[in-house]
Amino acid sequence: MNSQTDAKVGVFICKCGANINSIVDCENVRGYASQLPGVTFSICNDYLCSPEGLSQMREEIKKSGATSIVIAACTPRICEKIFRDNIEKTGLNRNMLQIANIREQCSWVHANEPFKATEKAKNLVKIGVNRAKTLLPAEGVDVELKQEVLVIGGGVAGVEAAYKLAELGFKVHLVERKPMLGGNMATMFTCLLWCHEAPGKPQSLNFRFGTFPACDCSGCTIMPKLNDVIMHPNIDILLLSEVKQIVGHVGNFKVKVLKKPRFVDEKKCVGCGNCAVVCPVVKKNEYDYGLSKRKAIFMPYQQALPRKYVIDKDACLRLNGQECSACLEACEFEAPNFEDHEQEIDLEVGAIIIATGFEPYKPRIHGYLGYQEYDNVITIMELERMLDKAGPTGGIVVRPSDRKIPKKIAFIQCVGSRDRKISAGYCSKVCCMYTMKNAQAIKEVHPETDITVYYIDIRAVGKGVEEFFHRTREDYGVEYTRGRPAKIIEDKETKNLIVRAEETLLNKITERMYDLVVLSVSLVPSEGSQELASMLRLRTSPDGFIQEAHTRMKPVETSMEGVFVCGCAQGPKDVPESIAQARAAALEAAVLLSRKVAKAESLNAFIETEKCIGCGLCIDICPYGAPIPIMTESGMKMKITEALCRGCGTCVASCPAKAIHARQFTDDQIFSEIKAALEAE
Amino acid sequence: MDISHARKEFIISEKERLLEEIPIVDEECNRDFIRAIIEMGGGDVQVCLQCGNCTGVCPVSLKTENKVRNIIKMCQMGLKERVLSTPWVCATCHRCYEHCPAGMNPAELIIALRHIVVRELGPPPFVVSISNNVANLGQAIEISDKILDLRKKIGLNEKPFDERYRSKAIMDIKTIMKATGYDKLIGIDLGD
Repeated sequence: MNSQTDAKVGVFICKCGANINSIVDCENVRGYASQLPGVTFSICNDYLCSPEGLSQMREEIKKSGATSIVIAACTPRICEKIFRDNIEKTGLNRNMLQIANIREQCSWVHANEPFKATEKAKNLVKIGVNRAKTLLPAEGVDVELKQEVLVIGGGVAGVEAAYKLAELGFKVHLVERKPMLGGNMATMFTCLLWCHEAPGKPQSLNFRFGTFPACDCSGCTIMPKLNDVIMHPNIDILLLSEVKQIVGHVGNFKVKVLKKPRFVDEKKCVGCGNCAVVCPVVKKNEYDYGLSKRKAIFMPYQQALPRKYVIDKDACLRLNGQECSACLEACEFEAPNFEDHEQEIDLEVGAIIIATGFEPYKPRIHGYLGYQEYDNVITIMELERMLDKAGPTGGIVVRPSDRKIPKKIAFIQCVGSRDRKISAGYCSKVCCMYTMKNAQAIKEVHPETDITVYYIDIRAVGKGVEEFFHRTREDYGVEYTRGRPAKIIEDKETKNLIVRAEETLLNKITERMYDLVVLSVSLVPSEGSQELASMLRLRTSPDGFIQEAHTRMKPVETSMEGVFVCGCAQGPKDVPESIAQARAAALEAAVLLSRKVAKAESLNAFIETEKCIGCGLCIDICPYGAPIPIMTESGMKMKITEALCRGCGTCVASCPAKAIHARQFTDDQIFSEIKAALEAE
Repeated sequence: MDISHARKEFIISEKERLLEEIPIVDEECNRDFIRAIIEMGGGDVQVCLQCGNCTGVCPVSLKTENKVRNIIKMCQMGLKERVLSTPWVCATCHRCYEHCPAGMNPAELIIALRHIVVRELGPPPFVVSISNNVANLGQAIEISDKILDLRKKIGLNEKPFDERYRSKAIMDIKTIMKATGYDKLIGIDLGD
């Protein structure tokens, strides 16, 4: 690890238009750099990252025969790859580049002190030059990319991404925890009621309800897509399955999936429902949020796709040691299979798309809004199920306490959203609109219903959404009152609810009586998504959703290469956005895999085998699982899998024998930097 | 509500009674006030979403014109003069704090405002008299002759406390008041 004694360093200084040059005197820095020992040339350019700047860079490198390059410009996060690719074209090794950040860490932060900023830029360039002399060339590793993709989550985003990839010819494994596809969107199903012309209504009211803002039926929209996915030869659907383990790296992830038993043969079941008729066990249907009853052998809801029954292991008499074979006797096709068992499925995939979606927030039991304490306080998801023509109440909204049709309904916004007591206080983005949609739907069936919406702010952004808000107030006569309700009091006899709130625009306390209160609950990350994120070592944002790699430029990539995120797993969003993001994620995965072979950046660590004492500390400490033990003649030694290593340096710091070195952060390199930084002028 | 009475009054009155409000202008808005509140322990009023939940749960909101949400809004705008002239009716029950979705503590804000008022405008008379009672008698309310008579009548000891312990406690209270500078702040004479 000796430094290059005869290093010829070329220095490029980027003015970045006025971004750097208006503060830092770039010509001054250039003159200073050209006198540093070992520097063969030093050049200024207006925009180094422009095609002209890059071609000038190549020419100068070729002309001078420089052996390593220093670029004083913006942060490496922006242009590092472009610059490395560019110097590689001249025949130089791509690792022979050192970036001195004179924009974010100099001109931007010292905008008031141009003279001192220039001095700092000189120093940064000097440090860079000193380090450039110690750089080591390294070759990246070729990684073969498996032409298969794992999509986790069978909601609208996951299904869309899977379908697009399958159409492109990739083999897709679609893992879904529930016994059916479609996720939350498929449970919002108000199509059947609205597929007729509503007489005497303005033309604008003549649409179907389901998802906003166009109000077309969500079932009609998602069903054809689900059918396409179920029939697609390239898609392997794993229902009732959970990802248990993921190891590996971009292009080669090894995945363990646990497939739970359905106890019904998927190939034989035709979904006729004869089995459910005879099944003696009755339970509350969790897929209808307890609004309806189901049997031990059941279909989650009527339009569930694929139309296959499933047996509840905990409820079934036969599976709990009792004598019963009612369903088996009733089935013409002998589909129930009590011998079904858990399976572990091993997959090898090149890329992973996370589409784990959201869960509706469960308001605190016996919390101040009285959810699950008062019968007539329900959440929006229960209302969605009631509005489903094929749902528990046949498309009619009723009071759970007495099954009567409510005359006065209150919607309470921001339950769980914008609440810093229970989360990071994020806005769930879609609740304002789903409330409008459902209020309109109720008004369509029972126009005499009084609806009041308690809100803090209405966020009706997006194409056509403000107009949708107008229609809700103007055409449907829904009242909006600004104020977060303080409490709900139940009238013990009538089970009516008194909502106490400040009408903040009037400065008055109101106490108004309602037959039904609907809580517009927030969207929270679905159960298990945190475990999945830690399994894949993904960053999550403070709200608990998965953090994208860059909020603007890399919206579907994650902190892990080869792992993409789409839909509500990344944050609350509506269906069109989920679809757009799913397609973007599918495209990114396809672009990655279509290269067939990828080069891993050579930022990795390496082990001096002679020094290694085989203690294995690096194995425990590595966040990427890169070090592996190997048996050699001189005993157990460690080896770093280059394709896995991300060059974080944790193992380097922990190695008791000082046997591990990070290729771009050797002691030599760091000390040369420190030396230059501390050197007196 | 019966509106006929109001209507009648309006018709028979000679002219409409109109308010004489003036707009709030820049001179009145002093955003440094937000920092002053933070320094007094009132927290950052800028986190407030103005949702009105605090007013909804406030036990005294129906008794005040300036409800707790309005006070926070005035603080956000820096309307120092207006805020400091609002009445002191907060019961500091902290229900607002329990409910606030923004994690603010409006009760602590009111306490901070009281600190600011006392320092800048001096204590209101009732605070001075109560503080004097605490310093000299060991309790906020003076026991009147009526109460002493009543005690005697129903067969209680004439004095509700043991004089030996009481004088010790009063000494302690005075020591605390001196140590914290409370006596000077409120303007009570503790003697020596």
